[in-house]
Amino acid sequence: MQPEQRPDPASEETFRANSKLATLALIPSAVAFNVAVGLTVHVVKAPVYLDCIGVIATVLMAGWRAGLLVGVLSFAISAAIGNPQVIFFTGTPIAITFYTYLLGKRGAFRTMPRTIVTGIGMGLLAGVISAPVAAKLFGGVTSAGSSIVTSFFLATGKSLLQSVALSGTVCEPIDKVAQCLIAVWLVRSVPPDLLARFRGGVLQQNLPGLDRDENSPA
Amino acid sequence: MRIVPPKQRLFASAIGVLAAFILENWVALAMAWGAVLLLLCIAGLLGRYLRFAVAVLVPLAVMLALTWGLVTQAPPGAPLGSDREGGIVFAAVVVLRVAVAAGILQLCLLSLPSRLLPGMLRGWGLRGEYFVAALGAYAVVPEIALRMDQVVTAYRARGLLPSGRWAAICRLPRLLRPLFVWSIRAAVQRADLWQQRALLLRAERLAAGTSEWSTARGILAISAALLFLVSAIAVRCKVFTW
Repeated sequence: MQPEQRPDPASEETFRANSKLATLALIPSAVAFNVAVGLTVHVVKAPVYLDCIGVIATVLMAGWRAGLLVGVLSFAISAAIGNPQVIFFTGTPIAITFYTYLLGKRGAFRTMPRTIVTGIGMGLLAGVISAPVAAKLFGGVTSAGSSIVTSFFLATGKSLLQSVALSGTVCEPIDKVAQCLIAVWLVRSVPPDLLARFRGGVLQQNLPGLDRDENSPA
Repeated sequence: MRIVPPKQRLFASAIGVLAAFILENWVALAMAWGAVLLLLCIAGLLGRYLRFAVAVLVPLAVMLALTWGLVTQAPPGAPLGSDREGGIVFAAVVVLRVAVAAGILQLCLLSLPSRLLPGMLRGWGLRGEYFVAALGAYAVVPEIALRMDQVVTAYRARGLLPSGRWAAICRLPRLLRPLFVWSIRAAVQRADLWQQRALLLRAERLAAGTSEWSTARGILAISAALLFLVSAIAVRCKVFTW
């Protein structure tokens, strides 16, 4: 007869410690992934940012604390090794982290239509948050293609802040929908035994078919 | 060579960036930019800064000049087409501000030898997990950039990376998948390694105090930054005029 399976407190403690360490080790990887994607986007000259895929994926896998660190560190390192301009936009990944976590808890990444709607909302949020920075510090122009849209709104007689905010709400949703779809697709392509090493995320609400590792007490 | 300690470095940089954004006079900003270029040259960072200038500042300058000098032909707040010169001056002020602020940030972050990075992060108040995460991120970036380069080269060699922009965008997610899965696997392996080597305990000892920090240079950096800030406020309040 098979003995009753009960979670062993010692093994649960070990699993918690292991998953905490795995999350800690995930942060540098996700930061480096974000930075590398930025470089690749630059190489293929794509007219999008795709600078928060690592943040969204980390929040899904390991929760908002890890996502917050990934967002802040990604922008700090990008500023140090590439474009110092991005450090002034650190508020955007912070907002994206909380948005992803809060909506992820309600299963916002469960299906493709939901992911698209979440991405549109994320784009609007990012547009509103980055608009004052782009307008006040950079004259409404960043080195991205959205500057052309800003110029269009300026030419129609709108104020600088209005033009940047409108440009952001037009351009950012396209970028953020793409980022959400890519992040979810990437997380789904990770083998379940690897995903089971991380805790604190919202995978259960968004990837219902995910089987945890058999050694996991969760 | 003894160098500016972490806290003073951060404080002086923050003051310098703030001063750059307070200034609205393009002549004063150009002078500040000259001083920053001189410091970058002394620190041996001029080449890196020039690469940034070509990749970011030049496109930014062109877009700003087109927007404010050609499209609106006026600075913000003025009626469209009323003051083309004012629009171009506004564009110049924004570009020079970004140039000065970027130079100061590069001086703060890149003038430090990598062996002193743990000390700097500890000096900025990072402890425990945050310290390990920040240090790990800095160390892993070159590794994953190399891996990304390998993936892109492999795709190119097989003729799978099309030259058209939209086709390249469509191909991008497939390009990212091997990198992402590899980075997650590497993270799990790194976690096991860290556990075996008791990294969290060792990291606390890693960044013990160093004798290479120079308090005198720290005071000098903060004094220079404060002088810049006071000058910027004076120029803004029109105590000095050009």
